[in-house]
Amino acid sequence: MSTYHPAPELLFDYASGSLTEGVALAIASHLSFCGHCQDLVDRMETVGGAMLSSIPEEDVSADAFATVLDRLDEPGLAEPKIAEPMSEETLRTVPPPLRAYLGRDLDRLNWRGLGRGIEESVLPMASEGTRVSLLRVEPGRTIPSHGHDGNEYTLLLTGGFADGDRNYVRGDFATGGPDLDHSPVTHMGETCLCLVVLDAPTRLTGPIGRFLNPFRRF
Amino acid sequence: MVGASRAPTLIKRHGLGDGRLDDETLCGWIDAVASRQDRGAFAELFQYFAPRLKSFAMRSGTDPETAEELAQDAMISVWRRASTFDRSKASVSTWIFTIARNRRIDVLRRETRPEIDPNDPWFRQGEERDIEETVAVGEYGEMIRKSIHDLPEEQSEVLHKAYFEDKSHRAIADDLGLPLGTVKSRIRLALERLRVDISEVEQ
Repeated sequence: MSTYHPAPELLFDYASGSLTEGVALAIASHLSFCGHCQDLVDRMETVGGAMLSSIPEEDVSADAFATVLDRLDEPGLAEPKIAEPMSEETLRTVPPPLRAYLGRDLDRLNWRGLGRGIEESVLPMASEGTRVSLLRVEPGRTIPSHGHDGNEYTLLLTGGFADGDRNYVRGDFATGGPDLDHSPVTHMGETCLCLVVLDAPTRLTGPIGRFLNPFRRF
Repeated sequence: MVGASRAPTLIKRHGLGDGRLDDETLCGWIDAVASRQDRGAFAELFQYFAPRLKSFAMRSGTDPETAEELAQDAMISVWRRASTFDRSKASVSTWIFTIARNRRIDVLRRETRPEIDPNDPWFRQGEERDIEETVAVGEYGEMIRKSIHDLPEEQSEVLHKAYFEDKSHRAIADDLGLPLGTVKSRIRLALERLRVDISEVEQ
């Protein structure tokens, strides 16, 4: 079980199905590390199942079942494609729900240098409304001060960072609300890799942030 | 409605007295579909779930034709994926709810649903689930079904909006003209009554 978790409201919106794709991806990736949150989501889905079985019924058309029988042999929907086979290391590092969004090994992604030991690779989403990226930060670096207009969700994949008196490591989920102005420092030793999801543009507060703010082009 | 292809099915129905069927009965039909592509058992599942799935889809704002298509799509997924159903992890209603929910996201929002697949090798080497008291899946579902009917109106209203109308906390607050905090606490109270303990984690 991880130490830091998503707010229960997020788990609930994930279970009921209303979260946007980007935030849902961060939650599903956290669940890959956290049995505790998996159990909560299972229970919330059980509530959904109980509600479905108690819902007032709507009549279906007389030929609906015949139509379904005819369609049983249609080809199924294709599984989401993983463009390239992935290395052991990528498979060990990247939780399953995130893999299709990478489509290739971590080292073969389009990394964009932002200076100060920070690189970013933006992940494409089917829908707008969130900005989803992987951030790779050298050990012992400070991520420039930035505030948020919306929420920032971060899932740690390797290494770690300190933010105030909290230490986040692999599997931990960090939430930054609109009022948070922070500059986390990555742990020594291992490169810090994290999934960062923004649901609104980031506001720059530090003097250098303006130039290398990774969240600028929302 | 079932047509000539219907095979006799030997699974006994156990009604719960209000038109709903117990999980044992539903599991039996899923097993029959998974193990021998039993169209008779599938017909029973269809008869039970299709009208519920159509109703589920209509509550998220779709017209009756689209709702019926969504219901049919969900039933086709039930047929195709029956062998992946694991009764130790979820009840049949829960499993079908997740299929319908994901289908709704696919079709109405044109998004893919990021999901975990408990059968992925990643989870086999993983940690043990920290469930303190293990309650049988079917039993837990049954307990929830009973408790749902006893929820105060204002709590059941927010659950309906969340599960059926595809609304987030924020959207429910806007919809009802309530502060976000009020919606949060109503959902929390409802979940507590349904034994979903969301109290203790650090965020």
